[in-house]
Amino acid sequence: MAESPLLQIEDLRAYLFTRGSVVRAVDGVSFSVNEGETLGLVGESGCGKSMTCLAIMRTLPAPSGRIVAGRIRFQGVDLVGVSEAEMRTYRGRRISMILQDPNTSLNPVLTVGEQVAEPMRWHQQVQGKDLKRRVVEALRRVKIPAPEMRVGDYPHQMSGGMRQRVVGAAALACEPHLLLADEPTTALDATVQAQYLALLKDIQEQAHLAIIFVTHDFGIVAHMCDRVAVMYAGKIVETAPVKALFHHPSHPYTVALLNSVPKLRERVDRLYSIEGEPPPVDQVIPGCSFAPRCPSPEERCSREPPPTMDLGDSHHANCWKLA
Amino acid sequence: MQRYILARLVQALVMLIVVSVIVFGVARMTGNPVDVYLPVDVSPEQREEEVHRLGLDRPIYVQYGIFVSGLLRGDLGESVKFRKPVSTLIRERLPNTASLVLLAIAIALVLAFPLGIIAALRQGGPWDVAARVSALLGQSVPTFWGGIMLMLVFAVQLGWLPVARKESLASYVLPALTIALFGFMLAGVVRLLRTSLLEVLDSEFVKFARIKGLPEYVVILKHALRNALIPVVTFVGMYFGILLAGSVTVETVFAWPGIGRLAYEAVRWRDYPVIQSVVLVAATIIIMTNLVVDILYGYLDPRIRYGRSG
Repeated sequence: MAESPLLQIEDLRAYLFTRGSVVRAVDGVSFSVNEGETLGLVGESGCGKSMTCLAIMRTLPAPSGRIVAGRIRFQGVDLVGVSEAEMRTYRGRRISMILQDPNTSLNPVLTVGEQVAEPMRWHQQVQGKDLKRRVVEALRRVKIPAPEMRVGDYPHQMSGGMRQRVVGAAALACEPHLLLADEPTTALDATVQAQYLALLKDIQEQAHLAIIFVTHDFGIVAHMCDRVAVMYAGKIVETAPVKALFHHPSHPYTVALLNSVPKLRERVDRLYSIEGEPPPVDQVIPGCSFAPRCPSPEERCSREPPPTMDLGDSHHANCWKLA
Repeated sequence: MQRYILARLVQALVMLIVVSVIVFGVARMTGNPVDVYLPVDVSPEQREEEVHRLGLDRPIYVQYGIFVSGLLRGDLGESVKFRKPVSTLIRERLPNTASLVLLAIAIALVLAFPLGIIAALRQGGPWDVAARVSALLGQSVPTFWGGIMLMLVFAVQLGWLPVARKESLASYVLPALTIALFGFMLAGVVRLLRTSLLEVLDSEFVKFARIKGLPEYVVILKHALRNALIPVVTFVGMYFGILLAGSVTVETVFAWPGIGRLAYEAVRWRDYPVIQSVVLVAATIIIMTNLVVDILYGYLDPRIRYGRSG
């Protein structure tokens, strides 16, 4: 296992600078993704999952969002340092991303064919008949029925599931090495969701694609991911191979998250939920940001940031109680 | 779409009938045209005779009937003041207004598009502030005053351009600039484009276009601008109709032989046939431009073209 990871993120910090306040959306995140691997990025809404993805793409909301520190090493190149022009040769070509809502991520006034064609035209200078053929191929790859007939369709003429397939086709058109999937199935019906996940898995196997799968659904994590990183308040609190995470969750936040997943075979009167709320996004917390909600905090938890504990088998957790 | 257009045309016809009745009645409330042009010491008999010559002694519904039956035969009547057929007058004047307004809109759009786009892209920056301040000024300065100021500086003081009237191509410059700068056009387009572009730039599909690695100019000109254009097209279309129908102020200030000035003169002279016809022509123009705007939407937004809200 001497291969170097496809993507290695070290101490990434991406802040949102708004009038009078700084939101530390991504606050010292480190993780890595190997080729062909799926990393699950889980955590509740607003914990910085999506911002981490946008930081990797370097498409943070302008002008408030900025990467302030850290490294994003992709195939040996630190993306934080490259020029905007060079970054464009990565976006949509070597790294791509699927957004959450297929209803809003396609341009309503352009045909789906055109939207799938764009990355190939700009990155690979494909034109004319070749481009048309490649677009149909790309749509066929995401299993859109009769793709020749659909290239001229507008997004509103398609169902949500079909639209998300089109988004997938556009994102994967240039066969990137890494796909950031930001809750791609959250807006879809359960059955459509299952089909979409199966499709992603198929494509991943064929193309040896690495995926960062952002989700808050542990069912999807179990189904799709090789490893998991759990995020809380802009930080990663635990990373582990998927089995280890389910069998030995170590960080109290992970434990609480897993507890809040309802189980089919148990009857309960009340679903479990984590007490309290995540800290205000623009507040700097000296210690562990989960301490205020932790069921058994220690005195030092709110004073000093917790160390990263190596639990063996590439299982890490940031918690004082494991020290 | 055809059914829709047909329905709109029927609607337009009804509106024109209503407009014709109203303008016919209102014009007659202002008084009698003969009192404007006959000498004050005219004898009652002579006055009576003149009123009879114009047919104004007949019951108002008969007058309306004559007007409408003439209209249907393409006869708009004869101007009381100019002693010419109204249709000839309109045919002489309308092209002057249309060319002036088209030029004004072209100037306004050429200035407004870059300003609106820069203002949106550099939100809060000096260009944005400049664009917004000039929009505010353009909106709040009255047209007649703005026109007179331009005239004073460029025609009277500097002597670069003709003061008034339509004598050469250079005569177009000042009235066209006045309409473009102070007639709400530039200001409206800049503000609308800025707001609507800011909204679109914040959308997920613009984010996705960037994620695909498209150059920024493609993201803005192809993905964002077309979506941001819909309110702008509405505004320009409506305003085009309004300007065609009534650049009364500018045409009066610059003594421009257009339809707006004709309307102004007609009202001063209580020239009923001209008032009626000009208002009807104006109403027709406005209704038609609105229809064209609606059809244009379909080209800009396929969701409208295919009759679904998406």
